[in-house]
Amino acid sequence: MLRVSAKLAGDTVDLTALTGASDAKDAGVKHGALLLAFAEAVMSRDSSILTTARNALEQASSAGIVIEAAGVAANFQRMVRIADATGIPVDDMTSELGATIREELGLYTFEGAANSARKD
Amino acid sequence: MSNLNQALTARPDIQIALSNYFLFLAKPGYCWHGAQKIAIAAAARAASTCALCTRKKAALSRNQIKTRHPENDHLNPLTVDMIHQIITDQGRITETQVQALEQSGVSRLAYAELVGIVVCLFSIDEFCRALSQTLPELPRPQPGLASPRTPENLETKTGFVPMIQRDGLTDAVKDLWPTGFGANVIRALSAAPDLVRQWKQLAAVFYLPLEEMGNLGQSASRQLNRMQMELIAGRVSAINRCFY
Repeated sequence: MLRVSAKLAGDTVDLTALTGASDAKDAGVKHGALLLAFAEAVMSRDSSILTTARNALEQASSAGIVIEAAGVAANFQRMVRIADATGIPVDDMTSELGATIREELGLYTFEGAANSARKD
Repeated sequence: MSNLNQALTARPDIQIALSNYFLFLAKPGYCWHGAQKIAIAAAARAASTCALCTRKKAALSRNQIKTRHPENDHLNPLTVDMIHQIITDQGRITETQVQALEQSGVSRLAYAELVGIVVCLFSIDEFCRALSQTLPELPRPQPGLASPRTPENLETKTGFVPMIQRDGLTDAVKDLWPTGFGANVIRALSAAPDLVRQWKQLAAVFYLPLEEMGNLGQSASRQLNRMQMELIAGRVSAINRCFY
């Protein structure tokens, strides 16, 4: 979705930012570095890191954006758990774009990959 | 009032969705009555700070740690273990575990409902934690028995739980997904349709309504553009080792 939305916007994104391996800190997205830092801070469960990341994002953008960023993080904390707890496979494993991205980001090493392999 | 609190008051849709979830949580469900649903939510909330979960997560195999989470008045130990694992180590959930749960008396329909209760509560808690807000109190359960109502057109070949076929929506559940959509992650909890409705409501305020998923640009109701949303979504998913 990130790559497609960037393409539609005429931008280029560095998908390796998703794995934390990007040298381009903002990944080609406005406030990208701060959004990534906030997402990582939410996942860290360290209140000090979280407060710092949240304040930095708010100062660079707005409190409304922080609320939305918290919502998106919370939403995707739910989605992965639905997928893994119910063992669903990826809907379309035949997509060439999907396969390229999964390879590029090393997703085949994730435990949940077994649920998609199982259904092939 | 802080800027964050002011910004929150500007999003009454979020407060409404959260309130609706807790009203729903208190009521008897399909396979679990109100007190059991609250017990499931309480176990999910406790998992985030569970020392036993930390040990199990760190172990090469979870089976190396034989200790179980303590049972409570409403849930057997296997059920409590599973709730904790959904929160802390979901990537290693296997169908064998779901079978074991079934043999302990938790049907796959009940498991689907349980997953829905857990993930919706967790999503709300994560939102509050991300903003350093106090977690909402769990409601008092409403009396009444669970009332099993199995949707029509269930199939069992996609995942660990029965789910409505992609093109199998009847009038009673036609609101679950738009015709022709039905991604697996939407269908996954459809054996318990109200849980799909709850998570759709939360997704609509935290992320985007299902109907807007196809808009990959700037939503009129959001300050973040879609690239920014997907950057956060992708990073959270990667840290969670989400293949889906």
